[in-house]
This record gives sequence, C-alpha cells and structure tokens, in this order.
Amino acid sequence: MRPDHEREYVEYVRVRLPRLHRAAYLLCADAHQADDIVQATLTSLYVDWRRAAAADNIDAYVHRILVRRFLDEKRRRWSKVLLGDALPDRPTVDTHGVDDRDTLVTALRALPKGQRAVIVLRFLGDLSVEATAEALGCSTGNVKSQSARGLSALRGVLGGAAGVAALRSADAREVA
Amino acid sequence: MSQEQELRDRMDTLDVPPSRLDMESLLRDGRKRVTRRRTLRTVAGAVVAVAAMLVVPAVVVKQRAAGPVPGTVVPGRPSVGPTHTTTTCAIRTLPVPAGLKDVGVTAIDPTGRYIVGNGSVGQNFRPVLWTDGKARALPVIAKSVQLTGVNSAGVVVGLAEDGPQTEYAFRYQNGVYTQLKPPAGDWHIYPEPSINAAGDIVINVEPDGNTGGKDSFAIIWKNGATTATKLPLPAGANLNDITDDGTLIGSIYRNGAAQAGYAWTQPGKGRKLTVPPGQEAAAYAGRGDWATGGVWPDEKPALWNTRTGKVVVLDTPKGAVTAPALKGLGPGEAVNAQGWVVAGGYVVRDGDPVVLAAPEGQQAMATAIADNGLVAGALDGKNADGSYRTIGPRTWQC
Repeated sequence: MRPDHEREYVEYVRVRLPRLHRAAYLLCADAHQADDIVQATLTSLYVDWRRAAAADNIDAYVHRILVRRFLDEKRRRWSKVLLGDALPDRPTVDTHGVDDRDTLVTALRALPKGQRAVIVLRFLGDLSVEATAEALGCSTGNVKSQSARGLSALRGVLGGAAGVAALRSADAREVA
Repeated sequence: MSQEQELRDRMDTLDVPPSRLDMESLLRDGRKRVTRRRTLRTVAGAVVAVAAMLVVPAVVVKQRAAGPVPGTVVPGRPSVGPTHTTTTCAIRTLPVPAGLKDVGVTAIDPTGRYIVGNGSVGQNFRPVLWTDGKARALPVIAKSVQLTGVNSAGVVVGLAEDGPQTEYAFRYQNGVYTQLKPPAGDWHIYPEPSINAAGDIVINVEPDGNTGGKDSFAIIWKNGATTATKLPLPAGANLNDITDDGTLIGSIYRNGAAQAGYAWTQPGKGRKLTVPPGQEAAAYAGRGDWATGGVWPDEKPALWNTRTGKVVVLDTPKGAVTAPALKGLGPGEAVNAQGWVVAGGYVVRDGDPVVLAAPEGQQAMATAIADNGLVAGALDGKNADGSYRTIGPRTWQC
C-alpha cells in the first residue's frame, strides 16, 4: 500500500477501532473472539483499502465484513461457545437496571446469530434496512421481520411501559 | 424514550472488555497479507480471494420436519444398501435439577450412560451431569462452570471462569474437580477440552494478546496429569477431539481459517482428510475410524474415514429446514461409532434418514450421539409472538 493510502487507513482505523470492537463484542460476547473478528476484518480492509475507501458508505462496508467474519464458523470453532447456533433459550430476565451490561449482553447472546447480527448492524452500526439486507445476503423483508423479532425478544431487558408501546408500533411498522 | 432508541443508547454505552488490538500489529498483519497475496498471485497466476465469505445463516430457524415417519428402528446399525429405511427415534425427557434454568446438553459418552450439559445464571454456566438418566447439579467452584465432555468412565471435562483472564480447564472425577494447568506463560485456551476413554484430554493454547490462532498449538493432559504436554503437530494445527485409540482430530489453520481436516497420531504423523474439489474443510469430532466436520463454502457436514481419508459430504435430510441463506446444515459436531453425524440439530448419515420424534409444532435439536444410538439434545418450541424458546433437554433412542 502506498504510504498516503496507509495513512488514510490508519486514520480511519484509529477512529473506528473502539466502535468495531464494541460491535464485535455485542455479536459474540467473548473478548478473545471479538478481537479475532476485528483483527480479521481490519486485515481484509487493509488489503482492499483502495476499493473500500471509494465505497459510498465505508462504515457499512466494514460492518458487512465484520458480521460475515462473525458468522463464518470455519474460522475458529467458536460456534459451540455457549448457546451457539442452536435455537436459543430466551432467558427470562426479569429485572433491568441492576447490571445493564450483563442483562443486555446475555439477552443478545440468546438470540439466533443471524437475528443478533441484524440487531447489531441496525442499531449499533446504524445501517439502513437495505444496507443490512445487503450485508447479510437476505431480503429486506427478512431484515424487518428479524429486527422486529429481535426487539421483541429483548423486550424483557429494555424500557418500561413507554418502551413497550413504542415497540408495539415498531412491531406493526416492521412486520407490515 | 422509544425502545429502539434505548437499545441504541445501551449498546453505545455498555461496558465492553478492553481490546488488545493495536495499530502496529494490525498494520503488520495487513502488510503480511498483501505480500502473501502477491506471492500467491504470482505462483498461481490467479486472483486469490481475500476472504472466503460465507453466506449468512440469517436466521437459524428450523421448522419441524414432516412428523415422525413410521419405520423400522435399527439401533446402532450403519445404513447401507439400496432400500430406504427411515429410523425413527423415540423421545424421552431428561430431568432438570431443581433451581436450574435454561439447561442444555453438550455431550454424551459413547456408551450413552453419561450425559453432560449446563444451565445458566446470567452469563455464567452451571454444570449438570446425568447418569443413567438421573440428573445431578455438580458443585459450582467458580463464577462459571461449564461442562464440555464426558468419557465412558464418567470422567467429565469443562471450563471454569472466575472473571476475565481467569479461565481454566478442569477434570471432574469421583466428586473432585482438578484444575488442568496450561504450559508456563500467559495463554488462553480454546475452544474447549475434549476427553477420550483413556482419560487423555486435548485443547489448544494461544499466547495472550494474540488473535486468530497466531502462534497457537495443541496440548494434551495425559490421564491423571495436571500439567500439559505440547503436541508435536505442524504449524497451524488446532485440535478439536481425541479418539479412544489416541488419534487426534483437528485441522490446519492459515490466517485463522481452516484449510483441511487431519487425523494425527500423537507423535505427529498426520493423515490429511480429503477436501472435496473447490471446498475448504475442518474436522471437529471423531469416533472410531470416523471423523466429522464441515466443508465450505457449501456449508455441509462431512464424514471422513480417518484410515483412508475418504470423504462423504452429507446431504440435508428431506424436509429439514435450514436457515434461509444457508446451503446446508453446517458442520458435523459429533459422530458415533456407526458414522451417524449430528449437524445443525439433525442426525444425518450416509444413507437412510433418521427422524427424531417431536410433538406437533416443536422441533428436535440434537447435540450429541452415543454408539448405541442414544441422541441427546433439546426440544424447541415457538412462542405465540414468533420468538423461540427451548422447552428442555431430551434424549432420543434411535
């Protein structure tokens, strides 16, 4: 890579690294695996930097690689870790505010991997429905329904009555 | 505040463990990769894909396969020959120790007598051992105690965690936990310990601070030992299982991604397990002369004969529903002496179908299989709002 391109890459990564690490951790709930995913993502990004830098939305591009890395079971055998790929338990988390980190991370981890990816891409990565669908290689309808299901499953660890009301309208909107 | 906004805020602000990645090592890895790619291009005269990107299991949602099919139950017999005989396996509930929630099964011993699994409290595991179908909650000696394997003598292995950087492997035998020490130095172990009939236990270690399996190697705790021995395997070799004759089942990884499965002897003599053309493969589990794992990008389970290296890629059972964007069931996770494979919650084999009985509207999710055809796993159901829940642990006798 030419030095000026490398400098651009370094600047981009320095700013984005904490956020990418956060996204990776929310996807996998494992500190080592989160580092693995981010490292693999940023290595790919380095190799393809010129193309990526020219992308319309470089953040969406990077998040797409990140999520695919997470879903790529071949990389290391993380898929068996904890609830893994099986249809998940929905933990009955009955309190909130006690330990936010634990309850939200736990609730996220109990979602199917693909649904978790939708939630992280849309609500942390701020990707549009269309960009999320493109990143995951599925339809926008699928993203909408998964997003509604994910929010529904997270209901137990999010907000009070106002939240539930908002969720209902969100559900109606998303499923429609 | 709307729920979506709250979710955004919470995701933005919750505590995450610190990353150990730094700019310098990222640049070094990037440069190395570019160099490697150039070299490969020169040699092969072709563009090498940067990343074997997988299509996404957008949702791991399975619907119930077409109900229990009446058929002949043929326990423990590998299916051969032209006639199609569906094996239907009767379901039975595994009891759950009082006070434990969300209990799932992780492994079964080859005789089917012992089953291990875990419940959870928050993000922490609580260990459960079933003996002859009777459940017992094992003592909780750390913040999280997770059982990952059991042998025919009822010796259990697992991972304990008492906070960040304090994860260790253990053996549980005759009511006593024994901590298994990694080699001297700062390592983390992954993915989880595996045990054979002789009591030998294998896992991999990676220097703390490294990622992607960089400088990792496989270790063994011989029966009764608490100190590990490094196994003399090629660079990039990571293990997932050890069979009763001591054969090591694993794969060679390059840049964090598996290239091919192998069966190694303990002195390090390896047999490469055949990789179908156009695919890459990883081996995850072994039993007798069988190994199972997966092939990518086809995302299907593979069954190898470790003596000959010959591979069979297993088809998705008729009526099985995989995730919308997934081509196959995903990799094989467990195999028994007859070559029956557990993959994606189903039991599959090279030949006739196996059906795990489940009540209407519910789905069997297999995770482990014994030589006598006893399958352990969970029963899943769908909530009225479209979400999913695990009903509880179950066994199926095939």
